[in-house]
Amino acid sequence: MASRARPRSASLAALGIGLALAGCAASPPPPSRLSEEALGFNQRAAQAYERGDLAKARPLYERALEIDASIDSIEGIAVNSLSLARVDQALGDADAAHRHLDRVLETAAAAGWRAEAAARKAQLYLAGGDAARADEWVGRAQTLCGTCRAQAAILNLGARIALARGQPALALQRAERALQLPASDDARAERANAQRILGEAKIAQQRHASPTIGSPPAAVR
Amino acid sequence: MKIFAEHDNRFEGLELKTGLFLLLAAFLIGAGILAALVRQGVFTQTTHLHFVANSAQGIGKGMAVQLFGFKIGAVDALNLEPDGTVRVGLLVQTEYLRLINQDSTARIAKEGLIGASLIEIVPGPAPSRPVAENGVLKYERATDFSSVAEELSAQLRPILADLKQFAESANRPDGDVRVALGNFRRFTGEMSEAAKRTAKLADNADRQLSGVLAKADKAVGKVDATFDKASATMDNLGSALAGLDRKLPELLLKLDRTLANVEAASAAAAEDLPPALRDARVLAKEGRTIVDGAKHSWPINTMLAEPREQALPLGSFDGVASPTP
Repeated sequence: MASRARPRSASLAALGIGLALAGCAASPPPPSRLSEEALGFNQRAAQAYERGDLAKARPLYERALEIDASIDSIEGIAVNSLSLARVDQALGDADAAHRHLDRVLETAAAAGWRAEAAARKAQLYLAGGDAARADEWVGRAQTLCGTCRAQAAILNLGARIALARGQPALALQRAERALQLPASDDARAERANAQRILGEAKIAQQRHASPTIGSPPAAVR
Repeated sequence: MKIFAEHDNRFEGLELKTGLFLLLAAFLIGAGILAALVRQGVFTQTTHLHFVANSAQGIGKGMAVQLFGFKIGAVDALNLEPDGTVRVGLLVQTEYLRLINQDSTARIAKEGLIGASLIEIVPGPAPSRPVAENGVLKYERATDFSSVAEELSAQLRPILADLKQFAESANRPDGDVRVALGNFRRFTGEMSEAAKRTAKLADNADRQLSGVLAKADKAVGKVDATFDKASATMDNLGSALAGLDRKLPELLLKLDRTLANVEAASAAAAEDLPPALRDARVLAKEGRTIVDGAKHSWPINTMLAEPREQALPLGSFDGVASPTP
């Protein structure tokens, strides 16, 4: 019996493995035609942005956003809204940028996208001279981000806001945290930014300790 | 008489000889008188003409009448008319009357500048009938030497006055002539200096021109050498062209055959190519379908990243300049 049962159990095991492999081999649902169209607009908009052609990038992102909204693609809405906010920020239209970012924050998009939205709002407030609200929004971004792809950028932004608020020690702390993150090709620019902020923060600390450092002599003034 | 004849035979027939002598003398005298009469025109047929002048000055009886330079008659009468005019009668030979038309004009002329005065008949320019017996001619007084002299004198008088004034001016030290002469003398002196300078300049130019000509000679020599080289090159080119000319027909024949082959190949390709293109298009489409299917199949789909929409990366310095505390 035992000799007959062994082949049977082996056959059952082989059948199970085959079924499992068949399940793995099943093709995922192919992307819809609208998704592909939205992807095309998004890619063409990114190419226009890289060329510096913001006027062309904006309508392309808007078209991609419309398509993603029509098919309820939450990720697509978040991605294109974030990009539109960046374009509007570059074009100097802070109100439009805030509207796009608020839309991202209102959706159930991944925390990483919402963290980037909050960080961009912090940038907009910082550029508008409202460092306190910028600090508030960068805190939300850090909370949402965790280990998202913009972690280093959010830390550096927080360091810049701290510098703007006259807290060079806090800026040093945040910039050093950014430097301690794992190095990667994507984070190379932010590592450089962190070094720059460290330098500025140290100068600011020394200036606070000795107000004459970095200032021209009274005779020259 | 016989006595004389007896002693000298030369007295023989003396009476006859004397008679012959007297007869010959009488004949000669008569011939002379006849000749004089003929010469006086006694036997020539004449016609009377006349004209009316303002004055008889310069006109005399017997004055010759000429037509075309030939004497055809003479003045035979001068009469002062009651109205103060002078009627001048002419006696002309009838045979010349046909040359004198009714528009002819009589005028006083002179033979040469200071010759004798005469009446000259000038026929009218328009053809008309000859003048009739006792016909009247028009008269005009021709310009004679005295009147010419008077006109000349009248014209020369102001010129002479100007010459006199000029001479007086030339004699004055401060006159225009003396001043002009002084200026002209200075001008000629300056011209002399200028001529000297010009001659000097010409010498310099001559020397420089000589140098230029020497350089030009050298340049021409170089050009000659260049032409020689060019001639040699042209000779080579000519020989090359001759060779090409010999080979060209053969090349053209080969080219013609090649083109024929290309044409045949093109014709064949025109038949075969469109179906081949259609097949290639279908093949590419099927290939893409296969690749797409493979990309979405396990395990390849696990190796390939699904293309997704990307957001622009967040940068810590996006949109704002570095803050300066």
